[in-house]
Amino acid sequence: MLESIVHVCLAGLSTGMFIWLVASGLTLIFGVLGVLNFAHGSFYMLGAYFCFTLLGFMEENFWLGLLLGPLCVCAVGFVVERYFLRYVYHLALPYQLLLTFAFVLLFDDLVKVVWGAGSIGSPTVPGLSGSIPILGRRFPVYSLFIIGVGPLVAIGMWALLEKTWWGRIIRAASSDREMASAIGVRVPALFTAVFIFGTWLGAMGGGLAVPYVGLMTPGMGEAIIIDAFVVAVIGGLGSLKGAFLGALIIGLLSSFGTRFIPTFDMFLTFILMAAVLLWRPQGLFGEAG
Amino acid sequence: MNIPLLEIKSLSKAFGKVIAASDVNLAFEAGVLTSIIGPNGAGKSTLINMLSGSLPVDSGRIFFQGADITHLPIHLRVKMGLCRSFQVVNIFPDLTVFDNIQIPVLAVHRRARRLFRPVAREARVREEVNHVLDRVGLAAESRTVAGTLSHGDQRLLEVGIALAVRPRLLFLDEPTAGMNPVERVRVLENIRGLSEEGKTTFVIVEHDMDIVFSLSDRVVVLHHGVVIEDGTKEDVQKSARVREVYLGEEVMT
Amino acid sequence: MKRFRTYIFIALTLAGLVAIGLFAGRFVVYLSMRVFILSIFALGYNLLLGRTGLLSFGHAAFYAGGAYGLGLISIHVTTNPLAGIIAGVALACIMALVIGFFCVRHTEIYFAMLTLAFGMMVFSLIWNLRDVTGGDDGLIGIVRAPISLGFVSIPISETSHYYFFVLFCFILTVALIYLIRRSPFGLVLSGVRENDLRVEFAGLSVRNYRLAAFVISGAFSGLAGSLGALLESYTNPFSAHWSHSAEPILVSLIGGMQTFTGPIVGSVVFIVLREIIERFTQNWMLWFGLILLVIIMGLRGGVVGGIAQLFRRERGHAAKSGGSR
Repeated sequence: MLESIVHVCLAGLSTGMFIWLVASGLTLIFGVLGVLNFAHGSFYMLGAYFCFTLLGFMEENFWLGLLLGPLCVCAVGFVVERYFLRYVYHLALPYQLLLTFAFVLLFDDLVKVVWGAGSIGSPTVPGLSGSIPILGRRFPVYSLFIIGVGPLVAIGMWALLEKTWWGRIIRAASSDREMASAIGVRVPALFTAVFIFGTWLGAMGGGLAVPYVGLMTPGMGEAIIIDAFVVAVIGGLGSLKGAFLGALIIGLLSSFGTRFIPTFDMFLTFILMAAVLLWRPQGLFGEAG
Repeated sequence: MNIPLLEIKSLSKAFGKVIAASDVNLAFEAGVLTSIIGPNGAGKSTLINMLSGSLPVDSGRIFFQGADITHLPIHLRVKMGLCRSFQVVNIFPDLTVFDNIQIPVLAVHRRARRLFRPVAREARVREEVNHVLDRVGLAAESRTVAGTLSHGDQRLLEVGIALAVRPRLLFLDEPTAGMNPVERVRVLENIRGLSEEGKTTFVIVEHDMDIVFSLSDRVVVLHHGVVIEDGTKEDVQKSARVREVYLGEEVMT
Repeated sequence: MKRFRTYIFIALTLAGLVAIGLFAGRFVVYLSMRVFILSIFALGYNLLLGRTGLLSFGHAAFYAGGAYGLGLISIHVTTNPLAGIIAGVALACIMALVIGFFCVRHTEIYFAMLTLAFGMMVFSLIWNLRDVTGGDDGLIGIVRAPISLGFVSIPISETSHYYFFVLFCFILTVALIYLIRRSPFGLVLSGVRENDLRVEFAGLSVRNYRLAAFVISGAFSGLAGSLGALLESYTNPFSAHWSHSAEPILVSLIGGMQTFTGPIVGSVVFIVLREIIERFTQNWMLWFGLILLVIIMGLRGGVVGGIAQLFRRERGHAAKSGGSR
């Protein structure tokens, strides 16, 4: 019984950290730019596809693929922000969301054109494959790796935003665009940079996801984006700390739900999302008002 | 003894450490044109926001025509006859001037819920909208899209929308800000005329002392959320406290 | 003169639509019905989006309410389509009232996210309650029984016969939406979109108007869903998915969110263009993505808005050259 619970917890933690990796970029972009980027799921998907295609060229080196793949996606992200998104910031919400949605449609089909519509199985990562026994039952090593990477990313982002000069500018621009502009910050360029960084995070998530999920499909972006939205909302739109803790909650909830109340875990996730929005719209960890 | 139109008892509001209103007690009688003045940060806007319903009070009570409206939502206060205009122009930018006024008039005539009758057929409503437009001098711009009006005309429209709900008590928040002298005179004439008609009691928040003293029957002076003077023009002009607060003069005792 | 031209135009269009029902091939008739049904969905939806300014990602839930309401009645109670449609629309209205009650307290992104959450809750309920809804199989075997009005029975099992019923519902919807847009209620909705605080200060409860718009658009979504279930003779759980909610949004945008006929034109474009594109390539989403991009970046008035602009410019030219004598 105990090892059952421990395994469900571990599974929940790894699911949660996995969602955090994706939600981090989404939250950052929303926090600074105020845009809810539907296409973030597509960047995640592109990250996965790029990383593993490059594997073919990189002599099967997972780490090199992980390094270069997201950079390719960043180029895409740059084009999206600089030549499209930038021009709709001043428009009403529907137009912004629909623009990012247009890119979802575009990228989903482009992936099908280039890589085919079927799913592609993923190779295992040497050194992180297989499973190890925990309390008598085996648990995948790669999942443990994800549980480790998640907090690393969180700490890295915290350090970036709180401790560096860069981070201070980002925080200033996100809380008061006009003021930041008035003191000389080139806000449009900053927004592009933050968008690229968020895209990079999403793409990294995609690259790391493939060995975890086991395969790549053109629908993987859409599958993850809703989870990322839910987490971002529950944690508090724009709050990175909130997204991290929200991801943990959703991961654990989902894991326990799947194990003990299998049919309704999707329902529970959305009820939690609605409940947070209704009674504490700033999220569990966001700031009021 | 008549019940005052609006009565405020022990109203207080603080934003963190900033005290916007401190134990304010005021009563407004019908027909008395009152001005509320005070230096910046005195709490004038906060007071109007609380009285009109857009800001909740921390403590205290508000009575309108004897009824406790302290926690009443905005639209119900307006229905009872308490309304306000805004300092920053707050109109419907993509609608025509006519439609801007038509919305409040429809509400007053209780025709705003009709689903299947074209609004163009509401003859009585149309008449009244034109009447209001004449009143504020915007009849010529009736078909113009409100967002394209000149700033002065937008301020006139702003006052027009507030008047269209036929309020018994109307707060005007700096009604002449940004207007040229001609427009200013017209608006003030209008206010004076309407005030004399007696249907609407005006309470004006203003900075311009000439307007305050030429128009008001009564002046209330606020400073840091406290009422420091409340009386006729003469009382205020002679008040040492007011002079101290406004001009920083130390009064030798 | 202008009114006369409008009447002629409407008469011709109606004649054309009737002609389709009488003479066109099966596939064209089927496609036209899909256009009508999507138009009903989008016209109702645009009352909320274009008019009131609220972006809902959950209206597919009401479409599904209409579909499953009709389906359940048809399978368990009576196959009379009228009963099914009334049940479907009623269910959609009740759902919209309950969900809307919670959602309209918030605006902008919180509203969008709330409707998304509720919509997906409905989707997961439909997916999981297999015994009632058929789960991922949906409800099958919905019969297009004749519409019995007591003294007369109108058969609709033939595709071409059902076409006229759907056409009738479409015309009814167009007329109702037209009236609502021109009513005082419709004007207040515009006000809510432009400046909800000022509407409040006009003495009107903004929350009630938003809820009313939400429920009315939900009702039309339910009607579309019921008609759709009768058309396909089955219900699909994905009709409640948020990706289906995106359809009326797309369609309204393509046609023109601020126009009356926009959702209709957008539906025609969406369905017809998709059929054409699918003849040549699997990747219709790519082309629609591009169309969306073009519209958002440059042609925000949509097709109808763009045409209107063209006419204005032409009239401007004509006036100039005519007045230069």
